[in-house]
Amino acid sequence: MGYRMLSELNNLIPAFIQKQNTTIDDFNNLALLLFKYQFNCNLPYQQFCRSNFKTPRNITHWTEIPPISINAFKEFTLSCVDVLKCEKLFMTSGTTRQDMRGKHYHPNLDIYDLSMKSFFKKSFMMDHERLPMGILFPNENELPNSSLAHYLSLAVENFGTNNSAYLMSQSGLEVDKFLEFIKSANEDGKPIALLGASYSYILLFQVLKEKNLGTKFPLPKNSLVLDTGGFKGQVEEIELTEFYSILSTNFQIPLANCINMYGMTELSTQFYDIGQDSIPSIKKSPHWIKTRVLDPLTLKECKPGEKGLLVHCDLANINSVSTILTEDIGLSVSDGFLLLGREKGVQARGCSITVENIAQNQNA
Amino acid sequence: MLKKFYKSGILPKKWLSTFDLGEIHWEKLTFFREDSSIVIEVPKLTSSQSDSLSHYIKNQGSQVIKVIPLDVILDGISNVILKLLDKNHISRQFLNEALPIITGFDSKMIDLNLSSYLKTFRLHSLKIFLAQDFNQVGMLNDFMPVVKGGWSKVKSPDLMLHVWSANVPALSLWSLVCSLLVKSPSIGKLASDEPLVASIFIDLLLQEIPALEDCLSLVWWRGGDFSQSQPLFDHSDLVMAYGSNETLSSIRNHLGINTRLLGHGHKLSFSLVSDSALDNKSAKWVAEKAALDVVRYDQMGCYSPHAYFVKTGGLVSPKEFANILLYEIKSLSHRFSSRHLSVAESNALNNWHQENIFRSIKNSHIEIMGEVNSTSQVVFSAIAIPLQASILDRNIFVIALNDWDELGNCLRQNRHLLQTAGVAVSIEELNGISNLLVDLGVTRICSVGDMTQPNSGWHHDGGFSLLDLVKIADVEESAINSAELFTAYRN
Repeated sequence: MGYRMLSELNNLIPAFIQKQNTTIDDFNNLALLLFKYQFNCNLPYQQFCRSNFKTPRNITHWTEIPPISINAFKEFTLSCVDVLKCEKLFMTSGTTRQDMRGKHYHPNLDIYDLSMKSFFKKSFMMDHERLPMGILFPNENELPNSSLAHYLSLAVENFGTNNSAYLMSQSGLEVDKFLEFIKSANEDGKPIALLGASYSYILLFQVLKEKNLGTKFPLPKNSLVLDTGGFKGQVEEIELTEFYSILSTNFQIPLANCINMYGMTELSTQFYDIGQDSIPSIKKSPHWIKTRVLDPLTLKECKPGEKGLLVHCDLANINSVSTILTEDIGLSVSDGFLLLGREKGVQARGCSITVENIAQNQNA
Repeated sequence: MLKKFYKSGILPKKWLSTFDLGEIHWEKLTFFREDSSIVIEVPKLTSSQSDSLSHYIKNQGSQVIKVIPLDVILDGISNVILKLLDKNHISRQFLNEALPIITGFDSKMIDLNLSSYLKTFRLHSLKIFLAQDFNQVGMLNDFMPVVKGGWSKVKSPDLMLHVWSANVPALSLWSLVCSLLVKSPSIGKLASDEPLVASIFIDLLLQEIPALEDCLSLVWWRGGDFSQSQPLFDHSDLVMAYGSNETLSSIRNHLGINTRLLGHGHKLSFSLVSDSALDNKSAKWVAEKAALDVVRYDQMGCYSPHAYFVKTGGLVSPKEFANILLYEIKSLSHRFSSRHLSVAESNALNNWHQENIFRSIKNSHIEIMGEVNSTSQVVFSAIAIPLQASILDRNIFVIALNDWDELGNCLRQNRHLLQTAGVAVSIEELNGISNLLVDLGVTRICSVGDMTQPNSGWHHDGGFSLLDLVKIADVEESAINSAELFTAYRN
């Protein structure tokens, strides 16, 4: 039954992604079908659902699908297909818990790539077919398990011109390449795009400053900058307003051209904003992923205006679990959601010990 | 009608009138709960103000408090406590209204627990504190003869600094009262999350004993910020601090070689339930008592249980006990609602629940009891597993044991953290089990149901409430004997 359902989903999901006018009922039907498949074929998820007393029999709406925490990707093999038959494994960077990395298996990347390309074009490329792209992140060969490396390779391959370049490798930033890329872009005078991890930009400016190579690197008019993933302990945390002010000032581009992509290893679809004119910006999603803001304790939908945890139901997550409970705090707004950051553990209260503290004690 | 503003913090009037170190900055701490809010103003001193205040209290206060007879201090404290126990007294009414907003705890729970806690400091209980630690209370006033020969007298700190936390309301009273009993001048650092009770207590105490005005002060700074408060640490003989191990070690790094630190850091407490207490009738009694320990202040005390080790072999099995316990916790939750949780706290709780579901999927001996997405859950283990920290807020482990000997493996890795063990065991077992527990690091053994209510004079973390605060000065017998040689009426 699993195989038949899989081939059905392999047809239905790409068709849904490519369809222009979809209704919420279409989404609901497909989400329920996907849930049924994942419940049947992903055994740890099935056990999780059963412990929540949820089965395909008693779920009639996509909002009832039990969301599984991103931590489950560290604890279990959440794959509907035998992992030996999976073409690709994406792993989290392990910034939250160094000892364990979340694993997301993909039998193939057809749907992942389709999802990425469809929404990237619409959200980032604006009216450009292709742009010269400077990538501030190591390439996919160097980081074969990084979903971001794959994402960026898709961007270069499908939307970059021939003179696109990787400006960073695992051993660090390649400053000469960066300067050359900027110089040649300015000679051409045509818009370019820089794409990379948020911390890469901070590292870049630090290195350029240390080497006395300047602080301002104006980009040609209408150029775009994409950042993603936050600072992950790689550089000192800074406020978003300060971060985008640095990008905008140093590259001499308007805040509206600084686009943030919000994505996760555990998902197969990304979110984008339309620049940083207001911070936090509104994150927008395509029609094949729906986001809800839930009370962290009851997992019931928050009232309008209330902060809560973001839960994403991503139909492109065909092989793992469609509905993921994140640790990201957000707020629902009319045309998307605001991402307000990640909630770390809580401070210990007085002399009553907490789980986190005891873990520290034991490691000590 | 709730007063929306309260000026907390105590600064001696004479010090204020003489010093020339600029305006005192009063920081506003605002607390919200549902539709209510309250602003507490607390004094945040500059470094030079801190320096001047500690000098003042140390020099003036130590002279004044020495000559106040101990009985006057005992009566004063007791009278304040009686006022605070009186539900019609304006200060008690204010506490009952303000503390739920400040701490997020249920108002009925605060009312109930506050009264039982305050009782620990009535006159006869204060005498227990003294009798527990001093063979001769007179040593607090003068030299007294001692068994080894010669005379001894208590030397109290000339300045004691208290750094309080706020995991349970009114925690500050314990060390404050103890410092008064040994007649030590004190400066207290109000906890950011409960800056109220100490201030109300001292306000009332100064009405009883106005002379103490130069001996007591309450100030505030943001926890971990030593930039302005360092002089207070520099001038103190003794620092009594409550908080995380991180807080304590950072305080330790800011103390001079001559300042002693008495730190109360993280602790892990738990209960034991014997098969002898698990017949149909007793099991219900034990579970009711155990649920009280869990619900009181939502396990935020260092003495609150994280787990119940339940022995197999009784008429009621450990798993059945776990179910009864969950039922009792839920029943009590109708009377005392859980404290309000922030988004971060709710998130941590939800993560913990999910992690336990994952554990139960991976390990057949782990079972989760309680409704999905409810705040309270019991995590049951059918085999002995090591004691671990619960996320608290009415979440608890129940761990089955076949033999008490299994306890060693369950507790050993956290032995330096163990504090209270609640017990429901037979009198035949009590002595043996107590010896076992003490060998494993436990310092307090009490009945299930009494975990959160330590006795007056309790040896907190195994230490002395009063004796640990002071030094004992000896006049040795040789001095007395040789002095006899020089009397006017010598032969």
